[in-house]
Amino acid sequence: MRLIFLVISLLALVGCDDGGGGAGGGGGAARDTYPVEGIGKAEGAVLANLAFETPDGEPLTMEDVFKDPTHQIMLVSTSAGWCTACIEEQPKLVALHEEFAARGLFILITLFEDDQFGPASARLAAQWKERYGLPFDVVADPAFQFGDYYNRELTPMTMLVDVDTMKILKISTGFPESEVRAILNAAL
Amino acid sequence: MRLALCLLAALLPHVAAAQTERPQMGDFGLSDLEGRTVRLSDFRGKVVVVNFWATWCEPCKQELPFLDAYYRELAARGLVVLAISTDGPRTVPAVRQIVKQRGWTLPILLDQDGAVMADLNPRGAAPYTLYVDRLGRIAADHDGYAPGDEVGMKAQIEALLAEGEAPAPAEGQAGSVRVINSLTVQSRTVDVPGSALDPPVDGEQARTYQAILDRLNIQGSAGGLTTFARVDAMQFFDAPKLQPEQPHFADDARLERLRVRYTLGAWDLTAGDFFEQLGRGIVLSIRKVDELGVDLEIRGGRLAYDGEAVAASVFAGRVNPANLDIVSERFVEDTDDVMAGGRVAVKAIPGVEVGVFALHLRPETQALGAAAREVLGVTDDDQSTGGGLYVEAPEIGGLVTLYAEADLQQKTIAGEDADGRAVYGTANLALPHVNVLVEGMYLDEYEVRGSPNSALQQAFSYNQVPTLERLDQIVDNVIDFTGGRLYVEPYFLDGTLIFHANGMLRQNDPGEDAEIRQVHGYGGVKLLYQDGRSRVELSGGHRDERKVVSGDRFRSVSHVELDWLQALGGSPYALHLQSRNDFRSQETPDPANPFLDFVWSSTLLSIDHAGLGSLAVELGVDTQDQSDGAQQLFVAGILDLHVDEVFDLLGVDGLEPILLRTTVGSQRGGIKCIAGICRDFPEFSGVKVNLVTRHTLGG
Repeated sequence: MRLIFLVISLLALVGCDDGGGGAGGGGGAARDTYPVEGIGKAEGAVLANLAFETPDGEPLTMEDVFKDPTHQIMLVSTSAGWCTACIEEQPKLVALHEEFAARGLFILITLFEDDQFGPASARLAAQWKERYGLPFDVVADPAFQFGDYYNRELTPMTMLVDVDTMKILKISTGFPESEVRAILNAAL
Repeated sequence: MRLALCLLAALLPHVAAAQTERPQMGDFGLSDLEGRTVRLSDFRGKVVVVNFWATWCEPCKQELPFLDAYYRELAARGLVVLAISTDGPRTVPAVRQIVKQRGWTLPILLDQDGAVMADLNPRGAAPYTLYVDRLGRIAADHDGYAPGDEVGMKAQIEALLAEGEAPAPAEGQAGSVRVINSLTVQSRTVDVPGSALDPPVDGEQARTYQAILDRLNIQGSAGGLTTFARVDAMQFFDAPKLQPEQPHFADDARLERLRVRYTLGAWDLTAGDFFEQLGRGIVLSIRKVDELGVDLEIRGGRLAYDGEAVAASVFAGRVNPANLDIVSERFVEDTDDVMAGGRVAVKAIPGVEVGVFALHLRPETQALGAAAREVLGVTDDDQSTGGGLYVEAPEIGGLVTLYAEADLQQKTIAGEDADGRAVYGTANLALPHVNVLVEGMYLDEYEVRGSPNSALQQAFSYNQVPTLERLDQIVDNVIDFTGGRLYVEPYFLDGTLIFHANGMLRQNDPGEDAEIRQVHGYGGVKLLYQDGRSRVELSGGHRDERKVVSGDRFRSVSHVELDWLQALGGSPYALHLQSRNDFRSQETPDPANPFLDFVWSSTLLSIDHAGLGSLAVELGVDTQDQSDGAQQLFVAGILDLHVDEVFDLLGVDGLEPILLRTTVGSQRGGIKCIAGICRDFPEFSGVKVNLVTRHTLGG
């Protein structure tokens, strides 16, 4: 009898999967190959497979994010040591993480400069993560690769990416909290 | 080519201008401090001085006592002075305080949404004065104020009064056209990383380019009909070609503003571009803030009725941003956001106004682009609907003025519904020798977001919430905060010796982990002397910002300001020293150096000549960027010249006003704020020449 229930339950679970690639679908097709078509820097384009440096000095690529099946939406926030607006944003990002991480939100802070306007380093990423008690990833982007996606004078930038397709859903300067929350609610 | 035609159109009439007929001034109506509607046409047969001023404008406050004195002295001979305050929602509570404090008796009118300024003073100059003769024609105008200008002001008024009694105003008077052109030619260097160029250029950090920017304002009037058009033209030379995703430079020439306005008694009908504000700006504030390059209008229609007991207006249209962002010089795409709204106010009890207003907004560009909407399955369009109720009771018992407003909003963003709420109130107490202002604000998720501003890559904000902060302080643009402010201003010697003390407490994101508590205390003293021709003001304060959860300070600023204008005896010369200094400290992620201390400072030393202009040296300091090679010292020379007055001195008279401003050197960039709207200005390095001409094409 238990076996019958188990089989029915499994079938029901399979039936629940809509099979779509949508961000709210709880994961779709296997993410074997990072998309290469339609790469660009604007909303609707596919985010290039950028690489950053973790606090341990290890590389973290967009492909790593893509291949983790628990990631549905990635929120990228560009930050710098001199940017107080970025510092103010950190507790808000922690709150978002606590609310949405279990539903598939992956937050990534990319630091491009320190408080002296020098290039960011793995050490800075470690300091940043510890100083603000961040439960999500912080990486160094000393080449400021995301600087080509927006007007860097208007840092921080907030970017939302659908990880299934790696398409850029939204790019905005500042931190439009209500907009980000609405999008996450819609997506997750 | 189009730019050349625009320039030709702007300059030809000036070249050809002889002393033409005086242009007719269009009629307008505005509320005074008691809530009564005052119209220019009420004063036909009198000489009218129309002065645009603001509470934050020191030269304006120095000039107005002279106009007030002339008004008292010459009213019996037929002089009227209308002092139009252009203060927006965040500074308008201070208008009544200043008037009480200084004991001015001249009529003060409120132009909170800037509608009259848009027609008569499209450059937003402050102070700006128009002299209107007994036939309702503009006889002269004047930009700015420097000690000694009052001599020319009185001479102008006396001359108009001496023109004698006017004949009865004729019906259907001939129309006239005024043209104001602002032409800027510049060569400047901007920081542009090579990777942002198209194609990328390794190692490039900066680029020098040249630009011609022209703004042609054409204003016509005939009886109750006023028309306005503005053509903006821009041409760049060697401007960096940027990647398509970057806000870009664009050569362009276009009809940017067009407005036809007809006033008949209490009725006012506008078609084309117009400003609009509801309440104190929480629900809607579309108005120009020239100092920050904020330039929005609604293109559509507006019908307003302003009667003795009831005032009402309805409007609808699309938001029309200026396509050239004057600060970044980047191109701004049109948004075409649709909005409609209205207001009804009842003045049932004398001196008390109760009103309701509402706004519906549908952004053209959704928070999520088409591709994202498809990916996420979002079908509902973004929208917001908001409204509010307000009560205004000026001069209760001659001592207290109250304003209270409550607003509600329902919005849909990316398919998600949410609500917004706001409550705002002020109480002014005008006691003998002391003004007291109490202000409180509660804001909960209230925002009026439009389509993205393509130059700033963030959504347009169509409201301006009172911030409680000092006018020039950096304000975080949050949509959740609670706070209050107490302002006490004792004054003596007929308001020429003024002390002030302020305390502000503001909690951003209250109740959340991200909660920030801001405390700001500041004060100062101002003395006007030499019959108001000279002034000195010293002020300073400290603002502390802490994270509420941890109690840690994360940012603070101590600031000192000096403004000293010294008229040199009875000569037309004056020395002017202005200095603003911020000593800032902010948290860093580095545990070895947990705080970064730095200085932002601007000092301007100038010698002013009444009527002619000024020559200034500006010294800027910015030590925030402490990396190798970073520029920390900025020096610029600035020459302001009334060219027509110079020719007048040389014996060539009859030229219409020509203003020249030349800036050479480097100027510190950084965040500049006016009443809670903050813009990050880029550094300037190069040469810039701005020429403003005004002329009349017919009478």
